[in-house]
Amino acid sequence: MTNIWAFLLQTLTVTLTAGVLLVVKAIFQDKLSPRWQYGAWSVLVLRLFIPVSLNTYFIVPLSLWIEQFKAMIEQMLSSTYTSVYEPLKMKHSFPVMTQLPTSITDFLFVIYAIGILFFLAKYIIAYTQLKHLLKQGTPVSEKLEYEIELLSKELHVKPCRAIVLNGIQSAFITGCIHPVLVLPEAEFIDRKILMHELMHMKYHDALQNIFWCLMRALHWCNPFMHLVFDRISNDMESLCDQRVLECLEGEDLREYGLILLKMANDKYARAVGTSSISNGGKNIAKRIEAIARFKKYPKGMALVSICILCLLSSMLIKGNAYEVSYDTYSPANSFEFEQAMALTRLHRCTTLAGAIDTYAKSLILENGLYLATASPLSQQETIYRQITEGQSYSQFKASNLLKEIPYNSSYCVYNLTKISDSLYQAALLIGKGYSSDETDKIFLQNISILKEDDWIVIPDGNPILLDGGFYDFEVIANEEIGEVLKLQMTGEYGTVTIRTMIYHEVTNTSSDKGITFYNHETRSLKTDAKFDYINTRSLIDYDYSEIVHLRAPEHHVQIQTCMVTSKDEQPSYYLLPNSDYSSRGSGNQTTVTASLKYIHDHHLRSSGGSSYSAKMKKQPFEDCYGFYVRILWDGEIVEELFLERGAQ
Amino acid sequence: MNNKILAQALNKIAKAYLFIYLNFNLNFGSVSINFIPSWLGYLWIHQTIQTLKEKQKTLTLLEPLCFALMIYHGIDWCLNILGLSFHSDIISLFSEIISLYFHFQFLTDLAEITASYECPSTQKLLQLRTIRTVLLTIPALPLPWKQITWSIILIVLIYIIVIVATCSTLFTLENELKEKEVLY
Repeated sequence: MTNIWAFLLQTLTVTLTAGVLLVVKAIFQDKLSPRWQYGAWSVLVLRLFIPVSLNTYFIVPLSLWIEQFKAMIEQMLSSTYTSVYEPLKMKHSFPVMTQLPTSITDFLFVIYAIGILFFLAKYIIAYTQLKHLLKQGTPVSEKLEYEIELLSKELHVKPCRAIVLNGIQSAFITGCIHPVLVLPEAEFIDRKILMHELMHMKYHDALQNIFWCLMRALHWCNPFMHLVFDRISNDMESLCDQRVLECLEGEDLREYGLILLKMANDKYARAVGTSSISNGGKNIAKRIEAIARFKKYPKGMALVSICILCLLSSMLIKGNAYEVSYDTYSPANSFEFEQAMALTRLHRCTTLAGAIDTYAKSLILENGLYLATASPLSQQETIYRQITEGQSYSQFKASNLLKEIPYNSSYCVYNLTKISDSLYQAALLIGKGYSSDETDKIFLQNISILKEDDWIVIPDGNPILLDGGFYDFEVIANEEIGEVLKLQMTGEYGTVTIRTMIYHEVTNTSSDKGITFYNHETRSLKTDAKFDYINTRSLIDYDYSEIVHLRAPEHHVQIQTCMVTSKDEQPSYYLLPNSDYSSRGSGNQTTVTASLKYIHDHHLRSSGGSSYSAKMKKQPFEDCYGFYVRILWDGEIVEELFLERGAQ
Repeated sequence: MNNKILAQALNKIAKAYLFIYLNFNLNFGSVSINFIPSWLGYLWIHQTIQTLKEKQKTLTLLEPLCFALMIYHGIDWCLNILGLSFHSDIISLFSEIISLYFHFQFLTDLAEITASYECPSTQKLLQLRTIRTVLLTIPALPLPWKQITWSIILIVLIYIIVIVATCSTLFTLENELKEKEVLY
């Protein structure tokens, strides 16, 4: 934790968890034994140590509220510990300060840290004083020492040093490494009291006591947690009573209750690293109630006890993911707007496809919240100011070229190229898939997709407009986008050029009747989107205009291609009836047939494509060694070329 | 308590579990009514607890839980009829936990009662109770469930089998008690 907001989130989350546990424990108070009652606090231990997830919530969206209020308040301050537009970082549950405080919230955090030190100092001083006091103790009598030794053997506990101390009213154990049993000055010490203290020692209750004291120090300014830690201490004592009762029989059970009753008014040691049989009158009354229920708990409940703890842990620790929909947040309402912006900081893009999808939708829908989700956090303030000034989510500076694109456009991602594990580049195209009008335009923006803590998108260079649709390969195949593969070879019968491109798709299907994309796709946020398909587009050009003696357009020209993955692989051609062109690939590529068309005299072009599941391990053309191309004139094979990838 | 009363109670409990586990919805326009509501099942169980608690004292502990589950399912049933829905994380959590414990202890107590009459199917009831409890807890474990969706399907299938087997075992126990009454 590096600022007061992180602590606030942590302590409120722990409070909520403790509150739920108290209610559950109350429900099962008479049904599940003290063993379970104390064991239930293991869920709280998990919550104390596992950093709060900013993307999930339970009952109330605490992380969202804290992030929102943090931004609203810190905007007016100049904190060195807190960044307004960066989300809270919850890496661990302990305070860390690296700079001097400058704002009120910084100083509050410093006060909190000082408070922890104060509590720790208080514990150390109390323990030191106790240690000093113990030096005044005298060893117990030989008879008592023998009794303690026998009892230790019976309980399978290593015997410890025992002393008698004048002035104390109830026995206690102190110390973890070399525990000391401290007894009051009395003629007779009941065996059951010794048994209780030795049980504390057997189960290292003094060590657990130290742990709970540390947790109390971490949450010193939370009064509810003080009550909770008191309750935990009482449950520990009840569990110890349970363990003692399991060793007693008959009249001893009743006598044990009477012993506790006599201690109701006794003062008790309350120092870190100690555990005492007496813990206050009110608490002893509750322990006696538990003793009365000792044999009334239903038997055989061990399995369901553990299952209940599993369910509790799952809900209280894991929580539910936020369901993000920015449609309900009005920019004119400053409270809602601040909450929406807080959500964009918490709900980031967790996948590469999610970042591209969110960024593309932000441009199509002109939605600043979507843009804030997919952009670097350093852009948050700029987007925030633009939206605030314009009172609209669309008032951020996107390109003016987007005005040429219809509102219900869709998008496509071409040539997604991996530069490193945390950096990809691609060409983002926004428009219609197929052009139906001469005026249809495509918005083209090259982008880089980076992974910092989450995936973000950064535009590369200035966008341009192209004519047509983004599935019109012949339109978009240009230098701006580039190709995955370009091979060319000139033979006796002309020049063959093969160009291939890849584009990725996220399936945004939706049955919503509201405003959707072109082709009825959904506009909702999908920060965890995955690519569903990887598609290829191939363009094969056969130009024989330079072959003078072959200038005879009346020839029937056909082409066959076949991709091979190794030098030794033989091409496997086929030609379907009534087909001018055919292609065969390898692996999962589907076969493609298409007609050649004349671009101009003696220049034929064919385009085709294939679709692959995005779950394929290999990318299309990843293992392409080259293409065999067979040229047929009037049904006769006139030439066969091999366009090798490595040679180009 | 004689076998006849116990057999009648088991019959009621078996029918109650059918009501709890099964739904039979009929739609009337925009209204959908479940004609075998769970709250009725819990009501019957509550009634049998009154009968059986003399024989098994720990059943008394389940009375408030049974009542709470009856109220919870009753309200849910009414809201469904009205076409409304209400979801609260905390109420869902409590109802899941209470339900898990309730059915575990209830079936355990039933098994203790039938064991005292030496019914052969008692052990089977305990095994089904354990499997049911574990199956309901497994999805709460922090495993990558999206990657192993087949396991969820498997759990659901096994759960359906357990439900059917539990109801069947309860009816079987009823018959076993009736046979013992005839014999004695």
